[in-house]
Amino acid sequence: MRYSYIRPREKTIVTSEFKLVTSFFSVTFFMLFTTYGFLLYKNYSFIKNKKEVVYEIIDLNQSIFSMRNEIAFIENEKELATSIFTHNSVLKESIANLFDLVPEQITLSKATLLKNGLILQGITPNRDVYNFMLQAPLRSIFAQTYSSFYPASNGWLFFVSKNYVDSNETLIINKEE
Amino acid sequence: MIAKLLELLYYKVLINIIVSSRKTVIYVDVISNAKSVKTAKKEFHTTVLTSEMVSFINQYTAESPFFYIAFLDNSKEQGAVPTCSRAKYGYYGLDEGFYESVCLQKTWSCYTSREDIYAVEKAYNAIGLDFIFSPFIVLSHIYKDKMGSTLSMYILVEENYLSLSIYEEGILLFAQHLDLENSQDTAEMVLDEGLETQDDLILDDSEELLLDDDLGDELEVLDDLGDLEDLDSLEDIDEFATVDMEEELLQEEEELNTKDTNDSTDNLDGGEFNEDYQRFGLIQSSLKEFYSDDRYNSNFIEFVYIADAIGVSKDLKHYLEEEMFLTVYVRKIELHTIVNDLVKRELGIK
Repeated sequence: MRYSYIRPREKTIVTSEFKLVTSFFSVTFFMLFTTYGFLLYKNYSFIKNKKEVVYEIIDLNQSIFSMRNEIAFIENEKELATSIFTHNSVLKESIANLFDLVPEQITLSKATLLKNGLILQGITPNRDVYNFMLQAPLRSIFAQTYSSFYPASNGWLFFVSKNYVDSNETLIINKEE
Repeated sequence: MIAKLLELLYYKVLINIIVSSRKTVIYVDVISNAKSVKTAKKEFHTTVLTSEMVSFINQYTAESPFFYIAFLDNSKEQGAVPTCSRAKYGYYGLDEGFYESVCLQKTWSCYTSREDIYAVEKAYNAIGLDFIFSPFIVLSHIYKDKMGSTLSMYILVEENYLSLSIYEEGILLFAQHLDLENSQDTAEMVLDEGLETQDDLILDDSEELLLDDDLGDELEVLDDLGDLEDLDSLEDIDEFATVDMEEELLQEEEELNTKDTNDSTDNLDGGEFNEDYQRFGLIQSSLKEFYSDDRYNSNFIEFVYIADAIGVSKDLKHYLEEEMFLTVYVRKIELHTIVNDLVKRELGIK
């Protein structure tokens, strides 16, 4: 029940001084915590960035390593290709030379190119044609030349000519390759 | 919720300011969880707010933000009417716009001048006020246990004021705030009304001489007594035997004299006696107004309850008992305690 003519003033612990002090401190703390939070965030993002950079470095190193490997592999491949190309061109040349070597009188039935030699099988009208027309140039090319003959039914001779490059030379050639 | 919690944590400081004609009493009650922790009371011999009072109050208000300052209204333009409807104020000769009012028990309301409230608030601006109580509320609070009874008169006696109210079965019938200083003329006027037989009824010279020994002031009192007796005759109360009354009054006067001469402390001086008589005069005239006014149901009043805040002499009781055949009960009260109770009730502590 109301007894008084007037109503009591609002009572609160929040006085104007209290408000001032509280607002001052709250602003200060807000700024402090904002700065602290900002620094925390920055620190966190820095650490994160650092990690990322480290991972990136590792990745890059790895990729550099793999690239180097690839480069080496490609270089090897290139060398291999070059060597194959050279070898092929040499072979091509050799074959061309070979066919140039073979006179018209002699017919080749089989030619086998070995790594260090050449085996020719064919038919020749006689041994002299073979000896002068084919074996002489073969001898100038190959270190060792072995020929064997056996007669054909029409009076011609089948021949098998085995020619080998000198093993030392072969080694030298391999080294050069 | 948080505010309530904080309120529980803090002390409540209740401060009462009671201003009388010469002094101001400030009572402080520091409360924690509805229990009084500390009380203090100080009297200042001034009626206005001084820096001393402010520092005394500030000393306690600094203890808690929950402090409440109550003031007992001592303005002249106050009273109580048996209605809560402000529209009916006109019936009792009051301008409703002029007064601030508080309704109680939905049957009566006390009022005071709005200007006085503003003036008090302004005067105590340095400390601020939370409550202003009417003495009629104080009175109804003191006698809340008695008010349900038959038609009775209740009077709060302050140093300068009398707050008189008449209740029947808990319902206010009539109330008046009487100012001792300013109503003196009025009281005398009532007393002197139609004093054609004044001379006949005045005490004999011999009797006057008998009494007029070494107490100069008493002579004046005796004159007043004479007036009182005139009033009785004036009111044509036939059953009052004037001679007996006179004798009784004289007897009391003698008793007083002996008391005065014997009492080393000399508490009851002529002034106080005069004041008691003045109070009686005021009560009498007020009662007369009640009986004569058609607006109030004027049955005969038998009982008078006096809440005595200042320590009135027994004379007032005697006057009322012997002059008006009333049964008087005087209860000594500490005004600040009652006001403190009211503050507690307002705050819901009690």
